[in-house]
Amino acid sequence: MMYALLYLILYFITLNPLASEEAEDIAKALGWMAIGIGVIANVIFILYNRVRKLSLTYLGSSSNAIRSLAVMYKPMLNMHIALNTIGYIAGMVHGLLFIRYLEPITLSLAIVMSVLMLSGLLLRYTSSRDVKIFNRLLHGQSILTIMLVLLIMLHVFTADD
Amino acid sequence: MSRSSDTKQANLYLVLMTLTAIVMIMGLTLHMPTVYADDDEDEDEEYDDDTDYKDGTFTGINTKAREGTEEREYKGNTEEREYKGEDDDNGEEKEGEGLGSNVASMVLYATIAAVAGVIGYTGWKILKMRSKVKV
Repeated sequence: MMYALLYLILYFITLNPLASEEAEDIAKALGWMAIGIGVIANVIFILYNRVRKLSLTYLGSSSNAIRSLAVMYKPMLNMHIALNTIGYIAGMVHGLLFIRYLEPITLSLAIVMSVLMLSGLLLRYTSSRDVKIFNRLLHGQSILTIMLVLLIMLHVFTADD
Repeated sequence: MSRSSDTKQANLYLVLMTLTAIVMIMGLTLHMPTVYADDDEDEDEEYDDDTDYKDGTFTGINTKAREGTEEREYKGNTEEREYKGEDDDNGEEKEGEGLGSNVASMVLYATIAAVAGVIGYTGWKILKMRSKVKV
């Protein structure tokens, strides 16, 4: 698995996949795809969580609406993870295809994306109490989310330069 | 949850964090040569600007004065340069580029500092919570 991943990375770095304009357009589309998927995955999940918490406060835990929302949690979480993983991979492939134009803002974006993705995956797939609390706190830090949004905007505005 | 599985997960976590750190360092290493290359370019341009004359003979090769420079080639005095104001404009452009790259670098350093700060703060919170539980 690791060798396959390494081979894939080396393939993207050593070969020049941006020889034609079509290939460049595809790589750009991958970037937009990553942004679109990220927006869909996160906005839906954040809205769902807000609605769940608000309805818990105002309706109480015995309400039918709360129960149906609670049943939906696992599928919503899985969708959030799956879409974000696809978006992250699309973003990273876009970055590897444009590795020759690497600049500080893009690197910053890659770092913030990786930290959020890693903390999210560890939050889901580890069972140790301390690790879970650490990742819950890290994944929910609003400063990281604000930085991600700002860096995406900066990247979009400065990428053509 | 047994202690051994806790240790295994902690080890996995450390390995993943180390990998992230390696990626960050690799990224910085990739970024650094570009910064130095820009600095060198600026120095070269300044050198070309001041050396229209080499060893007492006029070279006439100045990349920044390509258009309408016949008078300048004959006279070559500093007053003529000031009158045209070409070099001043280029100087402003260079300053702008430098500022832009500096801001981008600052964004990178601020991001690394913020991420490290958030990770450190979260770790410190966990440690504090654990020490309270023990007491």
